[in-house]
Amino acid sequence: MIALLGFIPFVSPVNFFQTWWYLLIIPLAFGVSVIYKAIRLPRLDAYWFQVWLMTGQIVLVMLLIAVALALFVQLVVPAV
Amino acid sequence: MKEPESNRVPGSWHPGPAILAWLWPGAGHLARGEPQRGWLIMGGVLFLILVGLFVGGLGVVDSETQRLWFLAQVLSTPAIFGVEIAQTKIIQSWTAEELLPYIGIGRVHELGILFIAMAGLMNFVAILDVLYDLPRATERRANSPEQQS
Repeated sequence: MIALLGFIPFVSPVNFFQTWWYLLIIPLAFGVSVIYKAIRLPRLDAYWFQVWLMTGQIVLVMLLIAVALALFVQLVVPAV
Repeated sequence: MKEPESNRVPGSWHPGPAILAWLWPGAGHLARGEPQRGWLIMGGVLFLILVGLFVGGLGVVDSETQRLWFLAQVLSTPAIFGVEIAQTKIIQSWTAEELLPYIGIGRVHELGILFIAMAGLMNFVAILDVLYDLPRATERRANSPEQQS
């Protein structure tokens, strides 16, 4: 019976993200940046700029690490 | 609630605001007279918790099967114990067949756990920030617009 009720927010998982799980790096990096910059910045004048900058940096570096690891596994490891 | 600036001594300890910071994210900074930082920390921690619960469902908070992750998660707020109790009650009241669609598996489950654990670990940084005044932190607070006004 309960299974027929379908999706219940905050109780059942969002299975959409089983395929698109890597997109969750964006809200994760954003949330971490919001807290970190609130603690770290001496002044909060350019707070949101700093938050989006750090979010972008995290996503970009994770992307570069992913590409590097993919190249390593696909090209370097088979050649060894 | 606002602590006078004269109480801010480099190397001084503030266990009261630190306990508040654990009881509710950002409350420690609010108690130390840094409302802007307090609201931002509160928003960030609650954002991570809510996204984690939304993505992974209630099963992402489980002290039985994910004990180490739970220890990180509970640093965010004691409200995590409430999520754990709710999760346990739901699991106990539903049959295995009823429960099946609500159990997160794979990436969704892992990322839900990670989101709330990150909320806890980042809130731990906020707790340390209000617990102990480093010289840098004191200087930062003295120069902040909130303290100058």
